[in-house]
Amino acid sequence: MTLPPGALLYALAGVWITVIGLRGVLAEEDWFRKIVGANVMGSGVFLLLVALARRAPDGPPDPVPHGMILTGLVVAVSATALMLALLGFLNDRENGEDDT
Amino acid sequence: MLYASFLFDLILSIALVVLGMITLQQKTPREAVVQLMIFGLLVALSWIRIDAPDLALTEAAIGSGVTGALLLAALRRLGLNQRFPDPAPAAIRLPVTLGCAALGFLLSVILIQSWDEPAGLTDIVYQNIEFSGSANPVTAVILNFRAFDTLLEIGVLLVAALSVYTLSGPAGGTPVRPPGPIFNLYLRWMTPVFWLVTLYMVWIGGRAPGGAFQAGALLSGLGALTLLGPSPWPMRLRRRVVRWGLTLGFGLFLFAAAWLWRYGNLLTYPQNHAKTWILIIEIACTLSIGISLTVMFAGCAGWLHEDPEAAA
Amino acid sequence: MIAPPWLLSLPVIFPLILGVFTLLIPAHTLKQAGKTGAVATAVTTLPCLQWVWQAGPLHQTLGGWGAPLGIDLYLDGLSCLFLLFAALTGLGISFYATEYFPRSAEGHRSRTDLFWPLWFVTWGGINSLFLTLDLFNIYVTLELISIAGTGLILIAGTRGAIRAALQYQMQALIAGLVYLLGVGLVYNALGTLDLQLIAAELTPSPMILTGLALMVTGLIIKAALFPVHFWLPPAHADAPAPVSAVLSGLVVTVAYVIVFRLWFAGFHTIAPNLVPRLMGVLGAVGIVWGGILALRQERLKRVLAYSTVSQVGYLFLVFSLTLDSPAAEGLVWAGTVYMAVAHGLAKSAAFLAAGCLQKTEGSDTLTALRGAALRQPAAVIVLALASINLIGLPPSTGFIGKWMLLKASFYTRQWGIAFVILGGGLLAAAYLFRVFEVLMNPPDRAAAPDTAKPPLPLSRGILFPAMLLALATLIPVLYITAPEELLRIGAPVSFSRFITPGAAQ
Repeated sequence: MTLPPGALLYALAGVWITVIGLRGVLAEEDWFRKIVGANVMGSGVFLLLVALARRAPDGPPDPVPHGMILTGLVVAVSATALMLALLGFLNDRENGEDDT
Repeated sequence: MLYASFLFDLILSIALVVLGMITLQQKTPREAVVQLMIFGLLVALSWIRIDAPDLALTEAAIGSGVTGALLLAALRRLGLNQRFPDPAPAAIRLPVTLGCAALGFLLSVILIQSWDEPAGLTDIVYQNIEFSGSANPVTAVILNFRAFDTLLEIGVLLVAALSVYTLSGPAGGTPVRPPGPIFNLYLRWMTPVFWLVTLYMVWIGGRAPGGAFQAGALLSGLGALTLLGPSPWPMRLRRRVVRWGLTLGFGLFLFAAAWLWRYGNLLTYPQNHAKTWILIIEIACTLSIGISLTVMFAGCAGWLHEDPEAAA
Repeated sequence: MIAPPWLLSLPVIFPLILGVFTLLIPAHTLKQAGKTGAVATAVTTLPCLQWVWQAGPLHQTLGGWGAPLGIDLYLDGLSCLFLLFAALTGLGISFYATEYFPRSAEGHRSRTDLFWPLWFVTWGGINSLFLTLDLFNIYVTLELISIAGTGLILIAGTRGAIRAALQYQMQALIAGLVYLLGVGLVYNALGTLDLQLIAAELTPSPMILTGLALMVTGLIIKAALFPVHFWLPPAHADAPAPVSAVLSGLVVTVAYVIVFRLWFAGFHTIAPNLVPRLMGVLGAVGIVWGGILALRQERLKRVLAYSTVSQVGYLFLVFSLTLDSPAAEGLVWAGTVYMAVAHGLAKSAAFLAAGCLQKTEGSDTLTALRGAALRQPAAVIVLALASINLIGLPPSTGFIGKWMLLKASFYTRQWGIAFVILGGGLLAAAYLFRVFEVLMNPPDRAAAPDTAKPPLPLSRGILFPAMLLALATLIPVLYITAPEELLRIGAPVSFSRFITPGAAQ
């Protein structure tokens, strides 16, 4: 029996991490949890793309998806930071002074 | 040997899925953040397994490190010991779960079926890499072949930092605990060390794993320390150094793009000088990435100041 | 004739440079810089128009590599028309914003000063999205304008705006990831990210179909098609007026235009018929749903935001209408473009007018605006001109577009869609006349206590740009052949049965 390639295992893991994260975003009410879910989903998508770049059994992996993921990581961290800052600011507002 | 390697991949991929699930099942935000950081490190490990050391380094630095720091900073502001509220009613959760599971099955089946028909640009990248000015294929892709993407991505960081600045509190949010003299001494000694390692990382990115993003993430570590130090200058957008630092990467990249119109279409580096252009752009971007991430950290922690005159 | 190398990238790079510039210059000079920069940005699109008019479609490679290794930009009649549309809308919004936001004192910098860098970067991103052929580049640019959009909403600074911005950013991030997942699958099936290369090789394999479905899903969320429109009304209603105009007039349109381009570039040849039918049905439901909710809103900007949900629905009818009858393709295709442009211009104008009313009357609730027509006639006239488009009354561009869609729905015997198009117009009339009834009614002095709010002084010229945008929607009626000729350049559909409204009458 031939063993499935390791990259396929990681690709499948990527798929399931993606849907777990997506479910976290859609089914949770708490914003902090939604943000964590979005990060999990992002990791899943990136993991899937990195694994797909390694599909050819020999030779180097495809560097184009690697570049894409590098960009995607930065986008994800920027969006996460912005949402966390928003959440914190909203929290301060609701505990403190009224609307301006 | 083959079996051992397969077994390792199998265990790691299952662990990743399980850990992802556990992360979202935690009762308190603090546990969720810690889980997420561990999860990020394991993702980085799996990327080393599938020959993506550049990405593994970035994921460890940005995906796990910076994101974790941002989450912890936000958590401190939101209140460390709170628990998550009750989950959404089953009427919402059940269809969402089923839909997500269906998507997961669909994608899994498609992947298994079409796994053996690889398509990609590997060959064409390696054919052109000697003209790209970088021996590292990922750097060649992001700073030459697809430099326009990276230009816009540096724009994303700038715009995100500016958006965070719109949330400056009138009184500067939560006060920072005044650091002691030992911390200040530590900061003074660490600053050049951070700079040295950062510059080394940019420089090595031309040949080996490394580059502007990893180096920028490192620099933001110094930024976070600076925020705790005696002169937390990244907190005020009014400061000229902040505005210039934030825009240096994007501005220089844009300037290069416009300047290079002389040689052809946008971002066409002149022959034999691609390496210099890439290095200059990378250094500028590293600086801006570091400052942008620092600003985001300060924003998550609630430390950004607004001009008192402009508060009205 | 050889195109200058900067031709297609200038409309992208120039506003981005302005974004950096407006962050670095002293805040008290922003007003002047904003106006000058907006004019210059609009001017950068004119060489594109000249080129496409004289020489036809143009392909340019960034970095000199060319697809599939590099990223390509492509200009045809459609993208040129949308570039001009963005230029006009952007010009109007910029001039309005210079009057709307208070000027910072010398040496100071306030939150509203961040409008300029964020807005110019958004403008550059929008232009880029009209031109780029690269699927991943679309992802980066969409995220750029989403994050900038969040920052722009936050300029309002109210609690409602912050909550809306959080939801806006979350939907943008998730929609972006879904789109990226689709791009990843398509790339791994075909080995390229370039739209034209992909279109040449499309086959209905499971991986490609799933990839395309995910991409379209992500874009549909960003375009706020029913039922994934939930994020739009709070974001568009709680943002400052110029930002509402940017988001409702431009950003939603650009997300839609990408779906439109991808679809007619080749997706329609391999997608199962169920997909366009479903998009048509969702569009139809969205028209009605958005209209009904617009009818129930108590704030003017909320009415306009739900109206956007309704109007976006019209744009998705095209996928269903082009399905059965290739002969009507050109008609529906062009009609949809007219609808998109008319809505973008009219909705921007309407939000700008609403912003004036909100500032001068102190609030945009309908009760506060009672009798505003007497006090603010200019704003109400702009609103009326915009409404003509939204309802689809002659002689507006909105009418031309709707008329073409209606004609095509008769032609292809899709009576349900014809019914929805007509019904949607009636609904739009209902929710807008409800607003006008309030605006025209003199205030009920006995019931409403005199709030004695001192009217906020606004400069006289503030409504001039809004008026210009509203009037621009009337141009095609006078001169329909020009946009039509432009659209034909490089169009992916056949125009054999293309009949202008003028010719048919």
